[in-house]
Amino acid sequence: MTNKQTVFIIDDDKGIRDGLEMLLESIGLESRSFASGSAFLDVYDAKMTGCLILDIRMPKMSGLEVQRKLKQLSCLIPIIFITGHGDIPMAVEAMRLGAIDFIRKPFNEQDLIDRINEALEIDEKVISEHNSKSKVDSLSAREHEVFERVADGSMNKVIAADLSISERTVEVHRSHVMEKLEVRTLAELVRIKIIYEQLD
Amino acid sequence: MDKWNIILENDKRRISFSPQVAILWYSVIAGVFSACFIAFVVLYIETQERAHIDRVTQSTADGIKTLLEEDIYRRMESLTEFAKLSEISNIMSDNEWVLLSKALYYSKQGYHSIVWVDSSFHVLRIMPIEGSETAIDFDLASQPIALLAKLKYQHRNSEVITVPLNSINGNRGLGIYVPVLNKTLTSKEVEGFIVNVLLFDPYIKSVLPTYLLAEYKLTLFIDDQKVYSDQTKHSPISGTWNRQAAFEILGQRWQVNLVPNNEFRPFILFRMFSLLIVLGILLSVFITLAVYTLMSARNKTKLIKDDRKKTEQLLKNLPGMAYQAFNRTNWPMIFVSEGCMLLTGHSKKQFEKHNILWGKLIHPSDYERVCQTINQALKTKHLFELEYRIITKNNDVRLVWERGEPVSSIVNDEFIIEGFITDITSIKQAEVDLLQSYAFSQAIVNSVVDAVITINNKGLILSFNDAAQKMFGYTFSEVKDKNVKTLMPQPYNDHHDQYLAQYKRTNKTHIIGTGRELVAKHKDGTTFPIHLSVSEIPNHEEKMYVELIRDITQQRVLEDEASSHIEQMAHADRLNALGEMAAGIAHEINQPLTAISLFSQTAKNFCEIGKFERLPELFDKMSQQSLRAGSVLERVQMMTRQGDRSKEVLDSTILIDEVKKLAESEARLRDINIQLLPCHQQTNVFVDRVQIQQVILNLLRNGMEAMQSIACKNGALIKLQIEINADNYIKILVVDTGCGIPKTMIDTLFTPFSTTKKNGTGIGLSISKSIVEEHGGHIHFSENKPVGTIFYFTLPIHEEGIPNDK
Repeated sequence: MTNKQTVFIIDDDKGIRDGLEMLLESIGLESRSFASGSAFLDVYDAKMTGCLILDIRMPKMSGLEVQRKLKQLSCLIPIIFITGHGDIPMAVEAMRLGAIDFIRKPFNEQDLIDRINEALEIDEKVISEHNSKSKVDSLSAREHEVFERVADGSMNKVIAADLSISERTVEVHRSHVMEKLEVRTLAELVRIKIIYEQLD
Repeated sequence: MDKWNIILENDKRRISFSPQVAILWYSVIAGVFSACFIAFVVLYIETQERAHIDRVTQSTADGIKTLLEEDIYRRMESLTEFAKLSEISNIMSDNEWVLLSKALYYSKQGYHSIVWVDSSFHVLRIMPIEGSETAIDFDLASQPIALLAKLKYQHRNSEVITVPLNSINGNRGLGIYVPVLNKTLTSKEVEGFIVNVLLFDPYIKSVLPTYLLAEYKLTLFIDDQKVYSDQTKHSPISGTWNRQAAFEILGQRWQVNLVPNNEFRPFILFRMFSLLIVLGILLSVFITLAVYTLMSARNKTKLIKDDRKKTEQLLKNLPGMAYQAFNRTNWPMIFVSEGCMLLTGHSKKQFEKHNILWGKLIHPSDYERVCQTINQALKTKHLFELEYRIITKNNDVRLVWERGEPVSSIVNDEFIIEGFITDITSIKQAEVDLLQSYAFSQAIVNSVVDAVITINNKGLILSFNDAAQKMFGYTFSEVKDKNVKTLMPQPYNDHHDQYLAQYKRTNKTHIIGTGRELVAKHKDGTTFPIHLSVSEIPNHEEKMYVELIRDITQQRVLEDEASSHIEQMAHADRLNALGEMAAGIAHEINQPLTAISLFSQTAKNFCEIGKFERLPELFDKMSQQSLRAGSVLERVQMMTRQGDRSKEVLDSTILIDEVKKLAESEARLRDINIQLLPCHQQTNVFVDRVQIQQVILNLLRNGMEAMQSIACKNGALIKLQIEINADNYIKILVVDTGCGIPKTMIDTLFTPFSTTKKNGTGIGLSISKSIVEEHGGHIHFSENKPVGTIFYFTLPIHEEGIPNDK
């Protein structure tokens, strides 16, 4: 992972923003805060990694709206909602839309930090999965066929017969697949196959 | 009408520009012209006349010449013939002579005689014989001898010679000598002459027509010797008119001088014309005078007419009738003005023709009095004034007022009465009404429970009714002309003067017309609350005020009860509202609490990693956040306060700003924004802060609920606004874009327990209404165009310096 993960904070209350920023700083996490959803959307970039702490009730653009906008932009950053008293129905809606969690104010700081760390992990995982999938998608049709059969544990000979090609050709395809998927062992290749199938 | 007046005035001005002088000038010029004309005509005629006379005289003279010439020649011829006969017969008988000479003598008039003379001029025969002695009158030989000698000497043929002759008794005559020749073969010898003697007088008269002789003075000269001159008595006139005609007969020069006898004719004419000129001038002068008189008379008539019209108009417009009446029974009218029609219903004619007599119209029961008054006036010859009733044509009874005066008549010794009568029925009625209404109002004033006091502009008491006497314990005489402030305790009595002074100065009233609650002082020194209303008595030279005072001790007790009831209700409502707002308030407090929690955890973390230098900043922030939480709680606490009913002077902007902050937490929960629109001018109000804020909060929350009930589809902005009204009130408005008010609710909106909300108590608006009215304002609502509702209430503006007491 080349990009350093950042915790983005969107809250209209300056007190909360300041508090969160300083808390994250004290545990050594990078953070950036925004006073409104539109301020964040203005600087949003697909390469951003990390997680988003989003206040659900804000003037002009609510947290739910920000979430919807980001989804439209195929943003994968995991979102943690902050809710106040009586915002439960909204929090439920947020979860339905794919937020990973919500925290009620006032919150236990350790809880929050745990959630943030979880979110960052998920983010990392999603990114790597996202990478595996794109690698598999880069295979040619013949290589894909070979990749599937190799992952299933078939012998080169069996694969050659199955695909009516020579054993030698199968070997060449296999080495190409290993190269493209950036794996060295069969075990790694199998893992990618599993992730890929899960994603499908 | 105006236009006509202007034209009339213009006319008058033009006329008044010395019209008499102008007319005079015109007339003089006309006279001069006519005189000149006449003079010219006269001169012309005279010239013509002179020329005419000249011509006629000349031609007459010529005519005379011709006549004389011709006559003389004829006579000569006949004489010559006669002479020849004599010659032939030589010696004629006497009979022959008589016959012949007689024939000659009578053939023409004018002969004096015909004489036959011998050569030595001895008369041989004479005709007429009986008048022969006349021939002797003339010396026939005196003149011609020389001529005859000449003739003889010359041996010439006989020639006729004429010789003027003078008779012995002075008559002038002419002798015509015709030689009688004794002819022989060798010689001719003058044997004698036949002499014809003419007398000029009869001769001229026979030859010339009589009218000529009558018209002219004729003078005849032969060889410059005057032989005839007219003997008529007309005096000869100047030589200028003398006309002459000369001619020659038988070598003698005849000359006729002719002067017209009636030469005076042109002079007569001339005099006549002079007379004419004088007459003409006189005529012109007369014309001048006539025209002048006529014009000025017309002018005067016009002015008199105008005057009469004006007078008529004036009389017509009088609210009554002017009259002149004989001082006889029932006063027959000589003259009445047009007003009689309106007054009595009878026409002017009927009065003036004595068909209607004034006395007959007088109400029978007043008649005697009228007679007496008028008779009295006649005796003293003074003006009289009368009020009495008359009966009109329509049988109405009218009250009239008459003012008259006896005036001695020009015609005879009798007095006539002149005067004016007008209808005073309505005036009289008004007087009666006024008296009645005065009595009526006096009765009311004395019977009312409230004290009624009138004061002048200095505050001195002018009247003090029964109720006032009872209320204050003073009698009217005790307080009359005393300052009204004796009825008030300190400090109100000082204010009273202040109010009056201020009103006089600015004409702006605090109390007039509205009323005020004050404290009054009884005679025994006790004080009691009163309600005072003051009204000004208009149309009075000196301002007067009526003060209406009600003892409100009882009312005050009741009010206090009601007011504490309102306070309890208001408090309940506030608590209720706070309950409903709990979520918003909780959120508001949650925020700083969360922040504080975050800061403290952070501080802990920094401590663990030894970054102590960051701690002060964190503590600052924590303290800020706790203050924030405190302020929220403070606002909430304010709303829970009870029983503290003190009022204070507050800037209205601050007042609503505080409410806005309180309501914002709830607004945020509802996703609604509150916009504050304060007025630019600082306006103070004297209010119970909590209660008024409760009203505003109430209205704001209602508005927000109305907006949320339609999911804020018309926008999520609710406005809170302050305006200043003209009449010293501020107006606080809450403008929402919500669902509006159902028509069925409009009438009962402010009544308790009526609500449109599911969980509403229905006391909010009714409490608000009580609070606003208690502060001297009003609460209303109207439709907000295009959607929503506007709720607003007014509060009196607090003015510096004037205690806004109750």
